[in-house]
Amino acid sequence: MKTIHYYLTIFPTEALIASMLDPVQFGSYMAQGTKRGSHERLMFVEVDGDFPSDFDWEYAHVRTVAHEDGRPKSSVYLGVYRILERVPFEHLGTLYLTTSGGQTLALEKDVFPNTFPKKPYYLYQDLCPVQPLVISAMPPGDYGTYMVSCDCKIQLPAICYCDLKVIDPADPVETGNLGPIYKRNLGHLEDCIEAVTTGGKLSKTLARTFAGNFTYQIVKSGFAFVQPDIRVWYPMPAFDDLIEQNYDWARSAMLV
Amino acid sequence: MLSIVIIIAIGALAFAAINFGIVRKMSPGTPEMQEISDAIRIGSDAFIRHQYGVVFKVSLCVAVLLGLIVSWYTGVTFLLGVLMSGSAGWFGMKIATISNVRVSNIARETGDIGRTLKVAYRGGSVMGLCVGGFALLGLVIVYFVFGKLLGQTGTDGMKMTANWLDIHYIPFTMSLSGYALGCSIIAMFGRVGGGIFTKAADMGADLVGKTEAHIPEDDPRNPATIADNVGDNVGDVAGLGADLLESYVGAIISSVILAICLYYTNQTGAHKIEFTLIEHLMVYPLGFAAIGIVSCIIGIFFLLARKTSDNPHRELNLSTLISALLTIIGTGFFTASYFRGQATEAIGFNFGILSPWIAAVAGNLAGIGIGQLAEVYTSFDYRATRKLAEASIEGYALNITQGMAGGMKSVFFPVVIMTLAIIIANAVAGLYGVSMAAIGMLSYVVATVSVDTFGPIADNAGGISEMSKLDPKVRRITDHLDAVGNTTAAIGKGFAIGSAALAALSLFASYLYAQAGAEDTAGFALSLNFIDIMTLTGGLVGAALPFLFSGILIEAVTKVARQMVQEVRRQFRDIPGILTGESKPDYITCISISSAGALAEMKLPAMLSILAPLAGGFLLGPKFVGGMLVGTTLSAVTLALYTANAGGAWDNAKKFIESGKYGGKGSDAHSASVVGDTVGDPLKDTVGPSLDILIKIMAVVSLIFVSVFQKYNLLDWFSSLNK
Repeated sequence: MKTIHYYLTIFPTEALIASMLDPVQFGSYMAQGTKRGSHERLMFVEVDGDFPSDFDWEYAHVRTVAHEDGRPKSSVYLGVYRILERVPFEHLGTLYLTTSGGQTLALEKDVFPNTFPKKPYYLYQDLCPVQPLVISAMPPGDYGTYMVSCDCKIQLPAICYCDLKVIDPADPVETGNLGPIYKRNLGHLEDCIEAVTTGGKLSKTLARTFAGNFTYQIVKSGFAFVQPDIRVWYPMPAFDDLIEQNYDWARSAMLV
Repeated sequence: MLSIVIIIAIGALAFAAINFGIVRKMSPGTPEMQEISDAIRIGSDAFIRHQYGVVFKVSLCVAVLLGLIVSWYTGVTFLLGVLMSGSAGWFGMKIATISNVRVSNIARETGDIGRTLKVAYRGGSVMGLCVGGFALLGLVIVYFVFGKLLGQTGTDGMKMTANWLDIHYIPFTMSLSGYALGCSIIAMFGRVGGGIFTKAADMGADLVGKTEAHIPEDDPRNPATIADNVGDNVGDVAGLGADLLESYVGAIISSVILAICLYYTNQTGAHKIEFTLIEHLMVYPLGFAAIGIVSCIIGIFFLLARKTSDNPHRELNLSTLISALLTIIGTGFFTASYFRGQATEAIGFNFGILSPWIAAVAGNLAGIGIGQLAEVYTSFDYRATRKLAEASIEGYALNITQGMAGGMKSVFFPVVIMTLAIIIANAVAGLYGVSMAAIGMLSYVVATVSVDTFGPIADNAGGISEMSKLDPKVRRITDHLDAVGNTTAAIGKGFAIGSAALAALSLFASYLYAQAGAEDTAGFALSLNFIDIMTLTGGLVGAALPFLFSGILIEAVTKVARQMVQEVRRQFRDIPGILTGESKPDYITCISISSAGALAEMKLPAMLSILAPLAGGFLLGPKFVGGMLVGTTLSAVTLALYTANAGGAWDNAKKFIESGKYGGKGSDAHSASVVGDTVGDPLKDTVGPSLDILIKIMAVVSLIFVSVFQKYNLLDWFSSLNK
């Protein structure tokens, strides 16, 4: 009996893909297991299939069959445009983070936290459907709600984002393994922080094209999926837990 | 005395055999671990067999040449040197490939860093003891067979002899030089071949695996990862062992040859030297070295016999410190009793019978000073390397320029320390004191080699743990030990370079003495006129030689690394299942590429070191070669310090950033530091260590052949035509 998995990829591009591969195989296949010679990070969520929508599930069932030589079908694309807003978040399953080295980490859904530690500012990487790097005065729960609300002039129908670790501009040496977020233009970072902490702005775009450099090293507390009527939260495991339980992934993600 | 020395040499080898047996009896772990370690062992064995096959063929030709042109015993002792040095490298490599998996397994079974440290150090001690034991055993054989049995060290033997070509020499100097040259040949091929192998594999594994495919170090999906681990054994173990054995022998024979030359040129006249004193001076370095070995055995035993702490760096330092202190104290008592009643003023001992010991201690302290300076210039605990890491924020180019600047600056103070040691040693005990300073630097070589070999064993153990997916706790233990090994390796290089400079100076003095005629028995003025055009031009050519030599080596590494990069890319492209973990990479092809490349590319630089002084001598005569030796020594010592320190600093700047500074892994600064580390790799691990062998090979070849090209050279022949 054939098993079809449905994967909503949210990074680097959004798509809904049917596949006979399990999530680990799919992550590895998409990240580097082809002859393309590319090595990409990939984030995807397994979703229930066959929910009422305009996706062509019949097409998925017909096409997602094993090859003549018995190899499983790796990918059948069901859509590549405005996907996130068309998947009801009730149907989201486990979130998978695949490194460019092909290692995959599974994150389970959790209750969206009511409160987050109070800070003067937060740093967000929007992942889908848009990908700017944003400094905001709002904590993770409020930020997503605001972005999909009518109050926001740049309202989105749905958003996926994560909060990031921030460099202390006063101590640019002891950064930890923050990867490419450490930039030479610390002055701009300080200007943006000032704009949201004392300048009265709710949010300020720090970089428009940072997403290509985004790595898992800098994720702070977790990943948020927000639609106007539903919020889903995937907490990022603590560093020590990752080392103990997912050492290969942590190493591949350059956490160690 | 010689009987005691031979007992100590055999005792060292016996202790090595016991440690070898103990490590071998330990469990090699799971079938998966054994499969990986077998691949490393088979690859290392195959390379060393091929390498030694090439070296022995070359050695046979050189031995025949030496036998024909100089004397049969020079040819025979040359082969003995090849055998002893080759044996030390072989056994060291064998124990390293046996220990690696057992180190990994003891960490897996016990989770105890102290017990894991002991297995790695026990393995490393086999190499250290083999270096000391085989070096001394070979020397004692030369003394017994050629010195005693053939009478070369008797009063009748200490005479200028002429061979069938009417070439004049003192027989025992040729026996010793042959032995030293044999050791040097193995060291040169070992360092050059091993250095090309290991760096080509390392660069191939990193450039494609880490940088392009984004897979971590020692990931079993990387086709070059086994070759990288094989490289650690053939370059950092076998090559390093042969290198330090050669340095050790070079230091000892330089003092003995110098003593013989001093005696021959002062048999009569105002500064007559008594034969009994020379007998003592010839054996003294052996006794000194033997006490060093005993001290090191105690130092090694101290670490292995007791319960160790969880601080491996402290434990290794303690063991080395005990070895060094016991050596200094032991040799002090030995010197006082050995020279008691001897009239030592004639030889230039200005501080009484303890003069050579004081000179040796000066050398020892200089070695420690140079080692500490190496740490100051390369460790990220100090400013120079942190500055390099900081410069990486601004990109690749500034990482490179800052690394070069730091490397160049790092040359000055070690040279000042060497200069002070030479001046002090010379003031205390004359030129003989300078050679004793070199021995002093290497007197506890057994301990330093043990610690140096511990590093690659721990590195391999980490690779095996990673490839066989052992628990993260195991990998943390092996990673910790590997990090300790990296620190200790930088210090060891300072000793090798410093001792090479001092030994080369005394060999150079012997080179000048060797030009004395049969009638020069009542004093011979050592002089080298640098205003003389032949000497000056020789100096210029000599100074340029290390650059040519280094360029050839770097090009060789680059060439083989490119082949490796292309092969790893091909495998990723043609076998897509590698990256998904469904297919195994073809490790063997990568090992073959490194192996074939290293074997092909090692011949030219190795032969250059032998042929350069011969070509200079036969074309332009002994003055030109004299200048050449000075030029090469000065330029090679400074270049070796530069390459070792710049390479070490680039490596550690990368590690500093990876520890979470300036953005850590994946940052722009990290990318720049990875490039710097890759540039520094062939400098510190291929070029630097080979340069100190270059100095000594050129000095010994010149010493052996000076009488030949003093008589037969093209320049003199042309001059005679004009008359």
